Amino acid sequence: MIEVAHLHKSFKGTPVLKGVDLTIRDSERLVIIGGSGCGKSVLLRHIGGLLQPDSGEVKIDGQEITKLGERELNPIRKKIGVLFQGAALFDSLDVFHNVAFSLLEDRSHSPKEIDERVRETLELVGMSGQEKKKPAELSGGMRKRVGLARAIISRPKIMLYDEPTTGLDPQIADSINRLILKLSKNFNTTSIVVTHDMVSAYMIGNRIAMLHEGKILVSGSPDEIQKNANPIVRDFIHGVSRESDLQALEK
Amino acid sequence: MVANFFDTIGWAVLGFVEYLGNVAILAGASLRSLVTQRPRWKETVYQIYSIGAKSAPVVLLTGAFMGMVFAAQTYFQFHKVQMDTSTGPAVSIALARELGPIISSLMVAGRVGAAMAAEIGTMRVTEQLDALRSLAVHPVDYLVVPRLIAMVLSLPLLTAMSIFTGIVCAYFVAIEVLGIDGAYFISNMQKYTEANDVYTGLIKVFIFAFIIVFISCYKGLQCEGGAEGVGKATTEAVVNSSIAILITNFFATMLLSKIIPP
Repeated sequence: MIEVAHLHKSFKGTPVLKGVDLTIRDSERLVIIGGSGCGKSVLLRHIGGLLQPDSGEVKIDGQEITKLGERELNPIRKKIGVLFQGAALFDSLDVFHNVAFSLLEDRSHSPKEIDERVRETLELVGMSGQEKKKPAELSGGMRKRVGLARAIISRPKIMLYDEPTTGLDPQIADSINRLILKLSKNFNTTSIVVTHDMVSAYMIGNRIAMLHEGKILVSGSPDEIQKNANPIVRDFIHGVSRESDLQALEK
Repeated sequence: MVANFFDTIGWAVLGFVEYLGNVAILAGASLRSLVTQRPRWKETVYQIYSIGAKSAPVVLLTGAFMGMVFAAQTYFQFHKVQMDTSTGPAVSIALARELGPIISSLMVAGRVGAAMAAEIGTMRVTEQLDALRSLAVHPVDYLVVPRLIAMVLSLPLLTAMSIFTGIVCAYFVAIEVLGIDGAYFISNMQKYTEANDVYTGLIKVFIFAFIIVFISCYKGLQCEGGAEGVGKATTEAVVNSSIAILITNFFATMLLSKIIPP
């Protein structure tokens, strides 16, 4: 279980998170939606132990992680897989070594075992036969798949997805969404997906939470979110421009 | 007006002290990692190739031309007072103590320091450093320590090669072009050049190796703001490393002159 309590974070004096409270149950697929720059990725990074809050708590399976040092966080990080927005593949390594990275670092696996696990994981994400390619030779969708393979190869209990479909065409975005669902079901992982793509949100999530002005505004099942009467939620999920943006355009 | 002036100076000094403190923290973390974490031999060997082997041509070339031009300039002045054969020891001592270490270090700071800051800076702005951390790998262990080991091993060797090439090239210019007697050139060089001259130079480059790695890696690790940030980090890494090398060289020379008298 993941518990986020009273989380506050500012950057250069600008508050981004203003007291986020959120609980994510085991095996849940939570989608966090919200406008650009509202702090979705910042919240995700706090859960992954990649950022330290100004105040507040993040507990993973009951363990408070915000006070832990970089090396003390490593055992927690081994439970968590992260798919970054741009996939963040290591440029200097080929696909095989990117995917095998955590197993090679672990040093407790034989070369044969690593080889098998990499092939099996690449097959799972539909990237078989691409082992020798460098990240620069891959398309956006392929990079996301390899990034996903790298994140899941050590079978993490929790998966964090930062904008998994941003920048992809609708067909590839759909295949990535299906892949996230498949992985979540196959490995029974807790998944937290940050996105502003409502098609993805409805498809992946069994719960959707909306972050607005640094706080969780609403949280509920996809059906509940679709029926929500709050105008902020309604405008966001239907892609209606904000009044202030329209006025600025008219000026 | 006066208050503003002192305000600006005060902030600049605070900024500089903070920068030095942060580089010192990185140095401490790197040295701790060097002792407590398992070595990454594969990355280290690659860095030795990248820093050492790939820098050899440029360092040898600068060493050669530095030796030749220094021999010529020294000869032009010494010839006026009939001290032509003193050109040999003047060249060898200057190359071993100052010119070899400084020019090699500045060349490596320019070539390798820039590459370090650019590579690590790019990794930072493309979230690759966060990816490393998310995979439970500390960036200092994976990126800084292999570069540090490689630099500490490579730079003294590159400098020794540069000094040797400089002296050999100076010999050919002195003998073949300027007409100095070869036997006297060699014997005077052997008479006045001591092992301590070489040790002094190599001790200094050992210190410069740490300076180049810590400043360049720090600039890369702190890089922000996309391509512009990477460019800024790269420039600052080279400029700051070069200035730090020149300042440290003066103090190291004064200190070493007490420990190993010239």
